[in-house]
Amino acid sequence: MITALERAHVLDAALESAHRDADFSLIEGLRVPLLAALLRARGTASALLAVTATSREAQAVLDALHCYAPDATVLELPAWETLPHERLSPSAETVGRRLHALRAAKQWDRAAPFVLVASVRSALQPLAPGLADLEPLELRAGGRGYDLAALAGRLVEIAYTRVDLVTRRGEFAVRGGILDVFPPAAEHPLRAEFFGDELEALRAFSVADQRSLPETVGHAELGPARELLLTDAVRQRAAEMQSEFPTLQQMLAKIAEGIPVEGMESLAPALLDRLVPLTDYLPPDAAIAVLGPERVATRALHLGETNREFLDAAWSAATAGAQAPIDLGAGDFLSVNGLRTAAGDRTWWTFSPFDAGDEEGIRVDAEPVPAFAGRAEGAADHVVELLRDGWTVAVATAGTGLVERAADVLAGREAAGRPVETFPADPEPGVAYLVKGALEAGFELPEARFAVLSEAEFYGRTAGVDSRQVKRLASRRRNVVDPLQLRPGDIVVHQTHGIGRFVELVKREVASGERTARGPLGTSVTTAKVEREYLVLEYAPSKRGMPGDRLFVPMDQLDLLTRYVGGEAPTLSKMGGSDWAAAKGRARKAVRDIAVELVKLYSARMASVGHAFGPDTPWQRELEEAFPFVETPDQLQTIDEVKADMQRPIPMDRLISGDVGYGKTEVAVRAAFKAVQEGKQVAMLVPTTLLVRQHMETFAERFAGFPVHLRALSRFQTDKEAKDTIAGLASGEVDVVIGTHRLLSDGIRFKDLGLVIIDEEQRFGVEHKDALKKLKTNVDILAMSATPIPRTLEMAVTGIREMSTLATPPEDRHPILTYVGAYNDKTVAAAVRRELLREGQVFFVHNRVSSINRVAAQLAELVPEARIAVAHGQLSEHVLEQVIVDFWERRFDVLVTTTIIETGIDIANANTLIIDRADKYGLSQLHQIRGRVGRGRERAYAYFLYDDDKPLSETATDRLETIAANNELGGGMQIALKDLEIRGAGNLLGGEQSGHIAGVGFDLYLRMIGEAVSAFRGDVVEGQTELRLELPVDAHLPEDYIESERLRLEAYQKLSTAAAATSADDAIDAVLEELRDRYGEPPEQVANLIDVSRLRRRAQKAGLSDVVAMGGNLRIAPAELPDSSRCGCSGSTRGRGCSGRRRR
Amino acid sequence: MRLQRLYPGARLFGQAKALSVPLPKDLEDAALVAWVGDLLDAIFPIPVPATEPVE
Repeated sequence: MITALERAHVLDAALESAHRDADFSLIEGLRVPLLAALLRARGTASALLAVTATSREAQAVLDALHCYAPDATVLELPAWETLPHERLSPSAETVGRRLHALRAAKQWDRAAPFVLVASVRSALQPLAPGLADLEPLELRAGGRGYDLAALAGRLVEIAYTRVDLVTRRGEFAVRGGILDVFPPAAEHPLRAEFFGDELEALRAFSVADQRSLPETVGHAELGPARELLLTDAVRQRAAEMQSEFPTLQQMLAKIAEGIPVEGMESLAPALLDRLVPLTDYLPPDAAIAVLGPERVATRALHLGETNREFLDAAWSAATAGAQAPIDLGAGDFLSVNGLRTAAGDRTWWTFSPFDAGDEEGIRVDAEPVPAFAGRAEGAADHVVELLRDGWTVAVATAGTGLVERAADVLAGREAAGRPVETFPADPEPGVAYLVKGALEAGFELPEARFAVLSEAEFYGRTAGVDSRQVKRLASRRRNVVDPLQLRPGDIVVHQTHGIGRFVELVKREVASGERTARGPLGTSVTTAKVEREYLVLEYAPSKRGMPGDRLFVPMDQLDLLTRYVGGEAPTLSKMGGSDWAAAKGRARKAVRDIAVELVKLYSARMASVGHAFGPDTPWQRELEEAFPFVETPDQLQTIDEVKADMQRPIPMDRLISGDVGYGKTEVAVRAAFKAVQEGKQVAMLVPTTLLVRQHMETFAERFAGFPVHLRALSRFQTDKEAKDTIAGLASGEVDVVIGTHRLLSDGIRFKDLGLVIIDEEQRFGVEHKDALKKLKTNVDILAMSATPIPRTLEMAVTGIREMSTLATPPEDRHPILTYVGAYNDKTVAAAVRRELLREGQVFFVHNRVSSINRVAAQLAELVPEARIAVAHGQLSEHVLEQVIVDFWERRFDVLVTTTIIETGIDIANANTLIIDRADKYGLSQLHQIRGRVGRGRERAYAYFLYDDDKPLSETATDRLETIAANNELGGGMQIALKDLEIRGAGNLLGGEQSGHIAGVGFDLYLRMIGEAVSAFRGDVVEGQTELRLELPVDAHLPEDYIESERLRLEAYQKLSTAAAATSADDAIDAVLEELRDRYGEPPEQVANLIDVSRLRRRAQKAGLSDVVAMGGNLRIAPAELPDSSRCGCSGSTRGRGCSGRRRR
Repeated sequence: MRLQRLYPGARLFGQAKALSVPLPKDLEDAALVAWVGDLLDAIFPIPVPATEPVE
């Protein structure tokens, strides 16, 4: 395309400045083409730094450069999510990408042009020197000469953290000869198996279940995980500073010992000799282009100010108000002029949309593509007109499906649209070339009769709304690693004995039958004792005043044990008492009722007849290909399931559960579209007016260009609009309606309703139950819910209630940066300002209605420029809805609110959350509220603040620590998530269950449901005998095989579950394979343990309760052999008996 | 008792519904587990549930 532009001589004047400083003025759509042309004019061995005002712009420029300069190496230098003076560390992933870009700049071999795109934020931030010289560690499958211990040492040096279970970037774990490591820039962590000094195998593995992924990796580079490395010099400097700054002592002491601390990067200016500007990393002849110099300058100014504010807020507090405690000035952002000075005599261009009018500026004449806002057809008509006038047109769209669709649209107007791989150097006039590519914007050159249209312009979408980004394909969810991490005092449930308290894990020697001279390969071991591990549980005392009874649970019975979740402080059961049996009995009865209800609903549905939709049409494919994201595997599967359901004559009743942002709406969009194509109507029922607005927007955008009549119905529509919609529904003119409970009111008739989509059904009141039921009769139903459904429950009701779970998050969602600290006006003001700086919004949670207005007023004083709204539950519903919708429409910057935002609010632009008195909230609540931010593509911040004057209770400290760690696999977090699952189960099963859940614990309750449902299906015998199996065999997981206690417990539990009679036949094999994968080849004891587990399963299937070695005998009970079986077995027994004897 | 032939010394306690079989001597751990497995297969065949296919 650049060739075509060059031939048109439009850029001739501009290209004369390829080797000297220049200020260009031109429209936005032409700046990347000019950049590409300038790069070409400078020759292949040219390098360039492009500076944009925002990171979003940087991304757009990056995409467009791929399109206009396909042979160049184009990399982004992402900015830290944090500010240099903020006491938070940037994520390892960002660091990884930055270091990769810097290294690439250094190693550039001049074979192809090289472009680094940086937002002003990353361009102006001073860097530690020598980052590009850090050689990453290299792992090569089959390579030799590795020393695992030394490797681990090196990893610590380049700032990796050693853990027992790798879940985050920048962590590593060593077990035996296995190294697990998660490189900062990698998509998946790696597992390297060493044998001696040889690296035998290198594979990627998945974080969720810690299992290897099928594809092998030949070679991997482990780059540093941080930009501040704890070298000897840094550690020594930290040690020296300790005495000078007592308030920072904790942090400095750790650094001095070589332990990375959260937020230590903010000390870099003091710990390092010097920081260098980005230009130090650029080739000496690289050109620098500033895109939008006016905006870049403003942002640079704001950045500097906010950063300073953080310096004041964080550090003056930390150093108790001392003036200029440490000189961290070197960490300040450079000014744009500073960067220019640092650039030396490198070529410096600016690209401004404004015409400065002076002599020196170079103007490039071009027209922007006219806007056809609201008229999707407008752009197509415009293109046809241009083509008739003999213009050459290029239309760039990001997906193949959209290219085809564009060809169809043009063909429909009898114009020539030609899909091409690359734009020809010699284009024909009167032809529209359709290419794949993502452009910022298009342009028109009337003199050259040449026009380029971006996808947004051609399809009439509002620019900026389209947040296209290629998402990496997330791996499918499998079993999640859930280490049974027990701390003394934790409450657990034993299926037989009830609720007890975990005391400790002990090893005991147990007598295990008389054995002599046993041992591998004839070694003579004459001990009759075997070491076993037990969990000790405490129960209520059998006599008042006495210490509690104790129960020793052997490891092979761990499957009977679950952690208690369900109520606050349950009473411990009495061993052998009747309370537990009674509680279990009550729960079992309730569960049975639920199961009956489920089965009844199921059979009623199976007996009714609905509409069977046909297979997908070409339009359906076009719509699906226009989806601007890569579907997650979960999404694809769910969509297939939904379509299959719709194509059956039995009415669909499927529940989709998945967190907000995981892609439920897209499933709904596709299902609705499928229904509409057969002339059926679709009703989508949502609980709030905000959701009506949000879904309306999504649906309208996705259906753009297709003849679908879409209407909204909520209290925000005028009477006339509502009347039209209702009339349209009755006449069949409206295809899809999205509405609140107004859809359930009398007088609403559908001509031919085919699909009902219900979002968050549990949030509709009882008064709507009947209307809902009527609406749901004999049509396909798709229910959606954001509360998680427990996996075990999902499996239990499979086949009775269809369910799909969207559990794969869109992978490039950043974890939320969480700051925990004392409340401080300056911190709050700085946090709000930073968010305003990027045009975002802030939630400020204060959970007291009585003082909420005062807090809002205070905040208004702190940040006078912010527009502040207040929302709480005591406002009338109408006012509240208005406030929330206004906030979503960005009429306010800060929403001071109570916890009513906890559920169902999805505002992608709000990315800072401040919680006042965070110590007053429960863990699950904090987690839930924090989930309100971080939904967009911006990095989100959460501030959990507590009152400095009041002492913090130990549990509150614990909670805040857990939430700050932000690790979903952490012990406490699992429990918090379970709290949510309880709600999810409630939504699915309905009815009053909380009492029973509190009585027996959530896990056991779910297990009971599973048993009850399968009992109805007649699958498995209900209940389970407790088996005592004790053999004089050395069978356990030794500590040198699995070092960490919680992981050992996890393995025992998995094995014990797999050994249950009800488990799948290959469950034990699966566990063995997993052990081999995660910990290496099992030693003999483990192999024995596996064999014993198989035996256990075998014995349980035979209904035995005792297989115990006593003295020199093996005692088996119950041994009830009916005569027939005695005779029956005699024949076969002989042969087997003989083989048994032969072995002796 | 035919059991006696296969597992000499084995005794069935009718009252306690228990079976007692002498453990073989000099077996390695793995072999011992296998021996118990064989014993179970021989004397306690898995009851066949109505709905499940025979294993």
